[in-house]
Amino acid sequence: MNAEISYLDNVDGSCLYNTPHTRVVASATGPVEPKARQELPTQLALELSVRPAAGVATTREVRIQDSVRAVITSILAAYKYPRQLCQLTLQVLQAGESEELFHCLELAACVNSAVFALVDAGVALTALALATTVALAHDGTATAEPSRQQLMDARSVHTVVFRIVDGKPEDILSMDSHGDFSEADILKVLDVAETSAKQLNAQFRETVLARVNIV
Amino acid sequence: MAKDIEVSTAESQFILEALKQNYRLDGRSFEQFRDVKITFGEELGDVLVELGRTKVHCKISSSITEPYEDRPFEGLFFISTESTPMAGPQFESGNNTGEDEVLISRIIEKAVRRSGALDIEGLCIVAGSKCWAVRASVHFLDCDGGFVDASCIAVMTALLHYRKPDITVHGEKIIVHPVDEREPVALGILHIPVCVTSSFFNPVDAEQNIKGEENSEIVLVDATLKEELLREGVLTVTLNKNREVVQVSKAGGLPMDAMTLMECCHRAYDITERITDQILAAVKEDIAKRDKYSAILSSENAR
Repeated sequence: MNAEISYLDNVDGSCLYNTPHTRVVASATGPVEPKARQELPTQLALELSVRPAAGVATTREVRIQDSVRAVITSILAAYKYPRQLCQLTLQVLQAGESEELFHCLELAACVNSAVFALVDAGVALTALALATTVALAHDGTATAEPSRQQLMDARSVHTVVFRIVDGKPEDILSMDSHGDFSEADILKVLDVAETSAKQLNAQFRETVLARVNIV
Repeated sequence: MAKDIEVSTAESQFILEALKQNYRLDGRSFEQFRDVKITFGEELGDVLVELGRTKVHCKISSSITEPYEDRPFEGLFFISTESTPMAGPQFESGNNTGEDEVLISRIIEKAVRRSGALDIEGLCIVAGSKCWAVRASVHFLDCDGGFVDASCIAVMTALLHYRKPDITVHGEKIIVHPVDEREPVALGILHIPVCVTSSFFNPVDAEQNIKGEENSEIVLVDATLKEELLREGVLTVTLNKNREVVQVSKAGGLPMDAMTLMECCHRAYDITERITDQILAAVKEDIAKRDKYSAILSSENAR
């Protein structure tokens, strides 16, 4: 993973998020004045849109959008900004997976880039959220951050989002699983995902620290 | 527009006063086009164009579909341009009906699609029943003026860079060969239109401009966002390397005379020529990097 923070000029926070095959640009603007219909009397409203690399947004993108929204709402310190709005836009530049079959790599990249952008924008968060994708092959080996081929060969694919508190994955915010799997498989997947999330967290902190040190 | 960007009176006066004294904020001369940076992604037809701080991404995708009934020998070609708040607070998500947004997408549509830059007859597979549908998705990432110019470069570069899977036709049946089985084929590009936008400023009062004899308008090539917000007129000329004028678009604004128009076109041609060469060189270099074996496999000889 590598992320370029403050990639864009016209928004409060942004990030170009690269994994070996997936690329997402995220932008966050906020807190700003909302339109009347978006305004929430006691909380920060969140406007989130996910745009696909090719074509127009379909139900598939709305699905990713809903998953990201669920994760982001649970880490935003929304009570700090009553009657304000935060706009999050996630533009997938490269899906890195066959779009007809999967959405897991994009989902993970969207969550991670959104968190980067929010951190860059300086919007208050109660915790970090980091997502990782794990593919379980037919022989039972679990691989974190699978390649296109590994996804195609997998028996089941899981995207797990952890809430990171005090630098450690604390609990699971979301888990999106597809395919055939048992309870034992899930536990194995969670194990691998946690290790991967720890690595991701280390890289995340490094990137943010490098950014803070420049300023 | 969700939120209009405002330039303070002090800043706008400063910019205009500087223009009157032949200076631009970024130190460019009036006829200077910003440097274009073209970056390719991992996939074919995935291009990021940077024009100064303006960033536009374009991705080409294709699928097999049925042609329009009244045009059985032609394939389909769409350009979708959608702006999101990512590019700046002046854009609203899911609402592309603003004047600027519509104008941008129509100019690009005219420059590329209606000028026949892509050979759509070459997209026909079986007349009347199967054809390729090529879609160019343009994503505006960051706005610092010159969206039309940057998007046009992005779409053309992506079209030149894209390769669609090879197919074999057996009567009504067609076989689509996977990329690792057969070399994918390039699209038929007939010419490369390049848009050059000039912005006009009026240093004297409006009356002088309409009735006066002197042409004292200030003409800027490739305005930045701030200059775009302050300009009083805009002209987009689309040309190609064959010295053909594809489109001239001037929607209202400051009146101008024929000589200024000619001057703008001549200036645009030099820029067009340079950018066309840059696009072709960039595509050629990237394609050569991708296929290392072509030199060995090719049966081409010096003759």
